[in-house]
Amino acid sequence: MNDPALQEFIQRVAQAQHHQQMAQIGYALYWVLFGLGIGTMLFGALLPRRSEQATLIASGRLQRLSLHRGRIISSGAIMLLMLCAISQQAGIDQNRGFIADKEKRYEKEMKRLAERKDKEAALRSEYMYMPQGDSLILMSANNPSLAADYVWLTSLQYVTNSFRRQQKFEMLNRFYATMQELDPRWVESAVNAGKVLSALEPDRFKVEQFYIKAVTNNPDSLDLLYEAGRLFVVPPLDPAQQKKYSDRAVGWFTRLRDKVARQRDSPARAATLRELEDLIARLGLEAGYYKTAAELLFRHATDEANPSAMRAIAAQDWLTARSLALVEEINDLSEAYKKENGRPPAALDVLLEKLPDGGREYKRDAFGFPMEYDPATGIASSRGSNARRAIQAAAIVNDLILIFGHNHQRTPRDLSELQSFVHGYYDDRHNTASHNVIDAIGAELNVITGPLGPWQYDPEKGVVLLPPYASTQTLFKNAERLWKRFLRGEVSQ
Amino acid sequence: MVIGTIALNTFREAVRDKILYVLLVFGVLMILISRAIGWVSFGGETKIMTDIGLASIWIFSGMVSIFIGTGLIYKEIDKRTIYTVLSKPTERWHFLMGKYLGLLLTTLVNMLVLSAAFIGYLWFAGAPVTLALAQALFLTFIEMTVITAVAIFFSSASTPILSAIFTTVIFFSGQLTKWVVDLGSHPGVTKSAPWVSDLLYAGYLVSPNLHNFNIRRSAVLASQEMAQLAIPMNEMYACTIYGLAYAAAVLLAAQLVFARRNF
Repeated sequence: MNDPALQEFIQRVAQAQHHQQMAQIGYALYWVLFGLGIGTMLFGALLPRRSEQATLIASGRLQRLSLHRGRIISSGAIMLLMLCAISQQAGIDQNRGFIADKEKRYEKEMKRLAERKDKEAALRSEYMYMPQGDSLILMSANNPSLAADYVWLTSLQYVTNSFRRQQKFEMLNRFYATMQELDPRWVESAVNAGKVLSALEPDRFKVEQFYIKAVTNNPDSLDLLYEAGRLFVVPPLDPAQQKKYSDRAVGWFTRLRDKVARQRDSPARAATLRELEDLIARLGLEAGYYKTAAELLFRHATDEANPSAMRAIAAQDWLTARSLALVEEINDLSEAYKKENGRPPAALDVLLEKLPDGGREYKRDAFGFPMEYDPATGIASSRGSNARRAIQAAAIVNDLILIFGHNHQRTPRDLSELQSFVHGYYDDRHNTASHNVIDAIGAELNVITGPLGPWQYDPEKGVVLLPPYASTQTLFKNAERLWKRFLRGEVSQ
Repeated sequence: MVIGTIALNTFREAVRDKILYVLLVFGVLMILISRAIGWVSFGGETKIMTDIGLASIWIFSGMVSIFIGTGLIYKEIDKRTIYTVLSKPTERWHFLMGKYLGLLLTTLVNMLVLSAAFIGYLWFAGAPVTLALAQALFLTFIEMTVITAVAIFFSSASTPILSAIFTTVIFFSGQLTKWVVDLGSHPGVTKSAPWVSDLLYAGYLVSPNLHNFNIRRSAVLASQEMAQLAIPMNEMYACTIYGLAYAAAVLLAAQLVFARRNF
């Protein structure tokens, strides 16, 4: 009973029954009116003409009616003519069909065309009924704004499922480009159009082209800049693109932030700036702009205008950003050393001793842990930020162990068994790993090694274990001490 | 005095013409329906309403000028009532001016009714209403002064059907004269026959460029952005002077034609 296909079938049958009923009533009504029309005409024709009134032996009523003979015949004739027209219209509609029928026929033709010819030819045929912007201006007698409204309203029917067409993104992109040509400063429609396009096309860079054109036409529009930035906030389907997406988003939001900053000072402007800087900071963390992110997060963490909960979150994120910024600087120094000496430095101290103050601030990450350094590769890492990632990754791995348990009624014997299960579970066709899972354990879905090295697995309890320092409480307790020193100015930013 | 009398009489006669009421009713209906079209849209409801409202006022006012104006003088000639007017101490140009002003007054009243319905409806629907819309409506009226003059010109020279056709062609082609100049500046034309672009430009200068009065797009955008003006005031004065001067020139031409007309 809950089967949607069955529900749809029942609905269609009910609709068909209703149509049949209405057709029967209409048919009966048609003949009644036809009879009425014929009757009226005949009655009018049988009424004596005015010249015959002298010889007529009739009641006063008939005499009065004969004065209106012409009108009575005309009314009957009008009725008959209208019925004739209606019957013709019904015949035409049956042959041509209504818009939905036309669309179905058109779709079949387009499919056939696409099979016979290439995609481009099919697309060109679909374009044929949508004129260029210039032609529409001419056809609308120089009312481009009205023509833009027409294009927008026409495009809406292709957004819904009622009118299915192939290559919806290309179709709608063309509609919206025409609309932008006709009315380039209609920002509201450009914003909505961009949202529609982003829902249709997984490649955001393609959609970004639309926003670039719209922003070029409306450089002062804050809404368009914001929407262009938001385009890249949603995680990409391909996780390898995440850094690129975040980078793009940072670019758009930074541009928006600069525009807002030039506005007159007001509480609304300040709130908008805070929101934007928060976005830039978090996206910057993903994109690798650690220093910028650290500066912005520090500002938010110390801004009295921010609610205390927001300041606490900003402070915690600052720890990660600050740690990664330090790591980045150390790695840059290491790279420079490698180029100069042909090998990475043997120890971190070798790098840091050349810095002012012996590089004291680089010895520990923002969480208070000693900076970790691999002399073989010359790459530094922050134990604190790795521990933070490990907490998230462990939660995901433990969830996967639970899923294994549901399927096998036992915990995995070891992590290799879990690994095989995970690879089979996330089948490309039926079940893809979510962005959270990929973010935590990587695109290769590696459940054997985590951010802190190989996982420690307890097969009896069925959980992966974290080292004692890798708990939220410990991490942020450590950091709280450092943060307070920071606020007191005992540690430089 | 004579001109005023003829104008008032023309106005009274035009007001009795059923076509005026039909156009008025349809104009108001279009304005009211614009909201329904806006509902179908995903965003931009008020913009669509404003667009359709301004365009409706433009087209229905034009139709009033065309349908009533093109038969104005011909009717008088046909019914022979023109003799009763011209037999009095009245110059032909008095008659022409009176007819023109009477028709202009009819168009103005028609526009006022439609504009009142439009602005009232926008305000009721919560759409932004600024002076920019008044600018657009004012320039639409100036456009009608030109079209009315053109209608009177053709009416004084030709039959109603031909007058209607010519005036309608000018009404629409006047919006597109810029495109003709664009054609002339096409690289293919300028290379092979540069005199064509000069000729087209000369033609452009002489023809009634009604697109000058078309600031509807700017007015809609300005009102959406809550800006007071669609175009600067000096530009508006320039368009107004252009319209009045062109209308006066056409009326003079009509007078020349009418002065020599035998009936």
